[in-house]
Amino acid sequence: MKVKPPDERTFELKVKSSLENLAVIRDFISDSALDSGINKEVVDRIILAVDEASSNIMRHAYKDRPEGVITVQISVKNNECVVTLIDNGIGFSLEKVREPNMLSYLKEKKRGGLGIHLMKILMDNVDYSSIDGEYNKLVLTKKIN
Amino acid sequence: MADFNAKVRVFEDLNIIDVKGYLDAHTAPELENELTNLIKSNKYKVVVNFKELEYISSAGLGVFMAYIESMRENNGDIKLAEMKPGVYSIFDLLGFPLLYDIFPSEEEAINKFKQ
Repeated sequence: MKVKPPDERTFELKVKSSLENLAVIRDFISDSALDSGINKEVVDRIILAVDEASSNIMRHAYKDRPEGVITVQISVKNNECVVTLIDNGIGFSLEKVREPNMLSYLKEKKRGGLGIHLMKILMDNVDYSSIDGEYNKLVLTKKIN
Repeated sequence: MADFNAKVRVFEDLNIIDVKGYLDAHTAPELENELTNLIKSNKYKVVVNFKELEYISSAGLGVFMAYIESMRENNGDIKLAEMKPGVYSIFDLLGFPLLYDIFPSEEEAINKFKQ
């Protein structure tokens, strides 16, 4: 007998800001999203977007300091999957991030700057808010119907 | 835990890197080391075989972006081969197929160097 899932399910993970924890975060998102009945192709997109968000937090918000804490929450409600990432590091301006020019990036041998662009492509909505000195909150939303 | 491995083998005047596992911000330095070593040894013709790569994030894509121009400046290139559909789709999302030679098989990538 199939059990109808509840309207909303929320899972939470707290990890230290260490790059080796990217795999832990990916596994958490994969297990939670698949458990909520989201199809694998969509789950793979959410995993990559969250990986990009998490590595940006580790690198830029916490400046590679592994003692920082990242809270990752994932909830599924009303045909939407919402992933929220909260950190207490340095904030940034999402509006100031420009769309990358791949050809000039190549000529400049530039290796970064694709993460936020990828997040925007992979998800339906990316929202960022920062309370200076307190916390930063990134909310990634993906339609799943 | 993320598992990644990059192994270099030599085929005629080419170097082939077999990448395996999960290529992310944590594991990308391992691939960078291999490419740095090849440049130090003046080896500029490289094929990367993705057959056993399960996952790539922008940190992995960034490694190719950082090194490909150095190879091309020295009459070489990094040609990419045998990607799984999920990995190819990430390259495709960012427009890489217009800027990089990506082949279904390693043999085709090798032959492209011979043309």
